[in-house]
Amino acid sequence: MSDVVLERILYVDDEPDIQEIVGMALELMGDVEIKTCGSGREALALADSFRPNLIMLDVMMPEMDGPATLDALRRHPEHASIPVVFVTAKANTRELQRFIELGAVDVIAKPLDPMKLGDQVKKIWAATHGG
Amino acid sequence: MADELSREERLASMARRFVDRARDQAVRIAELRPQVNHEHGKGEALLELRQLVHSLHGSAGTFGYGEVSIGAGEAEDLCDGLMAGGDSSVPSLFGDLDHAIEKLLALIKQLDAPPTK
Repeated sequence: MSDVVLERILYVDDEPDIQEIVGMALELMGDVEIKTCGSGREALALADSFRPNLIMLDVMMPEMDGPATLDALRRHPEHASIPVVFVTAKANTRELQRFIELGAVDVIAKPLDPMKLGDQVKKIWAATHGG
Repeated sequence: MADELSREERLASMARRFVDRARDQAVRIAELRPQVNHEHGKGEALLELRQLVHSLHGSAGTFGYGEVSIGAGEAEDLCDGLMAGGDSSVPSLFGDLDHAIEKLLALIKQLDAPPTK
């Protein structure tokens, strides 16, 4: 479990500004390839072609929100086990519990700190993969 | 060092674009403000307003504009309260939302150059 290397992250957010700054922040992690997109539907297509090890989903997106995207991923045999982290500006305790019950491995609160985001993701990955 | 400068420049450029976008959103928020009251929170204006303040809530803090993020979050919570509706607190929520919007617009108006962290 611990030998699984984080190589590819897919970040999904309908805000182009946030996509860009997150892309830059995650580049600081080093040998990790980052792709961003703006909708749940694009995320499902990229899950096929990009094969991310980790998917970060904004919760509130038009049409297909984060929980709906997670549900669709979980129904797909090849994507069902990809760890998903929710990103949300509404990270109260009740919502956090709900997101974990939906199957997210963790939740990152907005506003994001670009200088700390990489470390947050590394910690989540380590916790998910035993080190 | 060059990479560091480049990163700083990219961050500053993104923050400038955020400020431009926030100003555009403020114009739309100001347009929606009377519509929300006119429609008693039952029309599309409240939905659009909620989407705009949600966007600002999530993005402003990431670019270092924490006060705008907090102000937008307060407006977002009030929009959610109005959308949930159905109780006696709704009439006062309109006044609270109007006040929150006024405060948010003032904060956006003050946005200038990218802040230093």
